[in-house]
Amino acid sequence: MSSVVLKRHSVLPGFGLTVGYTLLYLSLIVLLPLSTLAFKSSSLGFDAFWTTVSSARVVASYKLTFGASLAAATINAFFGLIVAWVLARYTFPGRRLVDAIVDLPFALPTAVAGIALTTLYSENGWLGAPLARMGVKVAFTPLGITLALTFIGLPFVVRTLQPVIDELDPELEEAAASLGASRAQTLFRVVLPALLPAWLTGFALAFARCLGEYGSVVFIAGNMPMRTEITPLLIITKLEQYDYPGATAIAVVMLVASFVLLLGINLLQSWSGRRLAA
Amino acid sequence: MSIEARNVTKRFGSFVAVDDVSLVFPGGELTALLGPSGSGKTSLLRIIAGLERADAGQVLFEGEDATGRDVRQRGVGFVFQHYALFRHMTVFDNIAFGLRVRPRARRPGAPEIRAKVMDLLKLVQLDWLANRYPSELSGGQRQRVALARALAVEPKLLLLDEPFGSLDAKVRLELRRWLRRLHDEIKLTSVFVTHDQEEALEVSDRVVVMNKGHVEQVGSPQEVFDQPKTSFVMNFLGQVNAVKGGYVRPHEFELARSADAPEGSWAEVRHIHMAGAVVKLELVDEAKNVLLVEMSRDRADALAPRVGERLFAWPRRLRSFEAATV
Repeated sequence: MSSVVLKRHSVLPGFGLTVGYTLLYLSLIVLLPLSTLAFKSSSLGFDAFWTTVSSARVVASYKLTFGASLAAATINAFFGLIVAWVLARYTFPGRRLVDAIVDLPFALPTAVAGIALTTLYSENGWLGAPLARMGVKVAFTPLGITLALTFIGLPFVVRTLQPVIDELDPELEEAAASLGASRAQTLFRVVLPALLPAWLTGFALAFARCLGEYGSVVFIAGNMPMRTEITPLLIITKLEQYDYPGATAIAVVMLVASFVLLLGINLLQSWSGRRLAA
Repeated sequence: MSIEARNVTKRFGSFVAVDDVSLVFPGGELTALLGPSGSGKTSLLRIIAGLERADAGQVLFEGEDATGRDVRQRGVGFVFQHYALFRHMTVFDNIAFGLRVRPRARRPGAPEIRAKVMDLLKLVQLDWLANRYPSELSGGQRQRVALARALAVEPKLLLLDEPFGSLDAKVRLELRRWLRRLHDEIKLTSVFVTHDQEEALEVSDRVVVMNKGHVEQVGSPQEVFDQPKTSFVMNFLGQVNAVKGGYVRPHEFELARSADAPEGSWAEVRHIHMAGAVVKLELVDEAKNVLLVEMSRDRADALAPRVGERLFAWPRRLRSFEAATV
């Protein structure tokens, strides 16, 4: 490795300007609000902070939020891969329409999604009623929360994978086949390893989105303490009770946990992507 | 292994890429499929490999019908123009791939795989790169790895699609001579596709010249160059002057200061390119046709032509084709 070069001649100069802007922008938009979060919660003192963030109700909400988000991101990782593959590799009538539908969860107000899902899946809804007869309750259970989060996270996986699949040369699959690899071997040894970095990125984005999701979940969750209460809702509840330090304390825990998880996924992703750099 | 294509036709929509082509590739030979882009040469190669289905016709391996056989079962080594190396695998793992994906009953043990891969790496002279990733190699090295990977499964037939197409000129030249030597060593029936006539003539035992989905001519490099059967072959295999009565290659023109031949015409020298072993002259005759003439350095020195001078040009050899369509 050569030593770090900060500045070099280029056609488009402006290293100082752009980096300065980047730092200022990140400070104002991201770091400043987050530091006030930490600052505000510190007014509690350590004991009160710990009591707040480790109370049974709050811990139950962490478990639910992280668990449901993980489940939703995992579901999206698989189905998003299939959707992205179909959109990138095949042409069929209505492909553009399907392509546009994928973006809907981005654009739709999350509350609208939440109400729609609740109506569909409540015990007298179109899908909820037959499911209830089979003994499956969706609305007002963790399953419903996972469903809402799956809806929200889908485009992240699809939109991250799609361009990478577009770039993936079909010749790679032909080469594998000419060397005698079966379809499964081609998929698992050639295609998926090549998609892995983008796949992890998509998973991380969907997961991060789910952790913070509020609007679509609160309607379908039912918000029963200890059972279907997500952490972002708890924060709102505390805010409504003017317990600002309590709300920020929980927020800080969420923030740190999310950051550690995302950092881990990013490291994993850069490890798997390093070898692919062309 | 000998290969035969019988009445093979391939269409893409209304475009006929391969039009009722019948060809025999004798075992052990290195054949070049030569033609301009869109001539159907790559489609034909992919049909032989099993990567593409023919709309009509048959492909026979050693006299046996292989038309419906899957690419996985054909025992064909295929080398792609853009290498198609697996980027997440080292050079070693790329070459070992074909052996490792075999069903357990036919899969060699790890030590045998290792020995085989290292042998192949020595064959392509890259044994010092076994643990590198493809992104760390040059184009020529990548293509040699791709070749080693194709040879690892001990194919009965080696197919190469524009194998030198994305390499720079010097590497191209080295690699094609190396391929020729390799073929002399392993004597594997091989077919390679190229649009570069020099490459085809230099490397192959036999040349198949294709145009618009048809085979124009099949023959040894010397045959197709010296006795082209059609005006297309004549034009495609080198520089050509179209003169009254037929075609003349630049090196088959004679230049003199007096009109001492019945055929021929006076022409004015426009440019003289002296650089190189062959001197190239550009002349304009009385009918304003541009004539390209090549002669050896010695002959040029003896004649000492000057720009602006009028010289008499006559063909030592004139070829004409019936129903000539250029």
